Amino acid sequence: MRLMPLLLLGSLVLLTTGCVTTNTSTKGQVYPEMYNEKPIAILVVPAINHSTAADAPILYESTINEPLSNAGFYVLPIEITNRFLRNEGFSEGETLKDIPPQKFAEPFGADAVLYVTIDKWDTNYYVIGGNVVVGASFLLKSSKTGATLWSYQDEIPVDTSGDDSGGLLGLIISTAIQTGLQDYVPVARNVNLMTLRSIPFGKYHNMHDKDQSQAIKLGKIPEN
Amino acid sequence: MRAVFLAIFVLVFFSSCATKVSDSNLYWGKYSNTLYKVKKEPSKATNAAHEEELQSIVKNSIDMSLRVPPGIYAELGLYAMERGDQNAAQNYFRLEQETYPEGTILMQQTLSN
Repeated sequence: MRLMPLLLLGSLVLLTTGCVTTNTSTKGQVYPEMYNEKPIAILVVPAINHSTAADAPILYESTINEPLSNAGFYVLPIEITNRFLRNEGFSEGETLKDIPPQKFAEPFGADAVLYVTIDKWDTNYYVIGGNVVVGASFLLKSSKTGATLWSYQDEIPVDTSGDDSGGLLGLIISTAIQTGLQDYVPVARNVNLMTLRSIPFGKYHNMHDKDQSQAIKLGKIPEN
Repeated sequence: MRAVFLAIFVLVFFSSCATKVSDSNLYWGKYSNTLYKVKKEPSKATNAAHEEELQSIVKNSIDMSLRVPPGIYAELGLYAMERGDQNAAQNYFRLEQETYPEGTILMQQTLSN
């Protein structure tokens, strides 16, 4: 019978540590403002690039429309909004960073503005295959209030080996990485796709306003 | 009976292989790839390839009774505008706006510029 308190203590310890390590966050808990405001039209502004890869912003720009639209939003045509922004002197994300979205988003008819900072784009290559580690933070701000509606920050490793058979193919690919001929579009697509897994679905998705209880893996929540 | 099932299965299998549609029912083809090439190396060839891809996305979407994805008509409108074909441009911007009323303000602005 003297075992009983020990068992009790043991199970208590297990229970509490279990609570700490299990991440039970849901979309509704983490991003309540998305469900209040329900933004539809999103203005994607040029990325801020803090990485060493000069191509990162155009890779992001070419691959963001698809997953954001697939998540149910209307992405204001980036090729058009970029022209307007450029005419106003905003060709780089850096210049837009400190301007409240209320000041420039309205003429576009945007409900929210998506800001992205690319912190890291590190290419690693081995004898066979390799990977790219991309660090990025995403911020979606309301163009009515300027408040952050959704944000996500993570470092995502994307395998670039292409094929696990290695051998000759792996060799060709690793050579391609070394010579800079690697096709990074799939890498950028993957990063955008993984990041957007946490965003509450928009109007054009059949789960719109029904995904509050969906569990999400949390990256770090970036500060404004 | 079995043969019919088999035939249906084969048909469904192959039709799903032929074209990739996202879970929100949009068909994108090689959109990101051809767009990236335009941005990386803007040239007659890369622009022609991207415009062709946009046309193919419209055609495939209509064939499959899907909504044309956001921005596809608008980009086709930009290409028409650059060629000086105002009628075609107006038509594309109108289609974008009809498909996505959220884009109305921007499409109107683009037309008036």
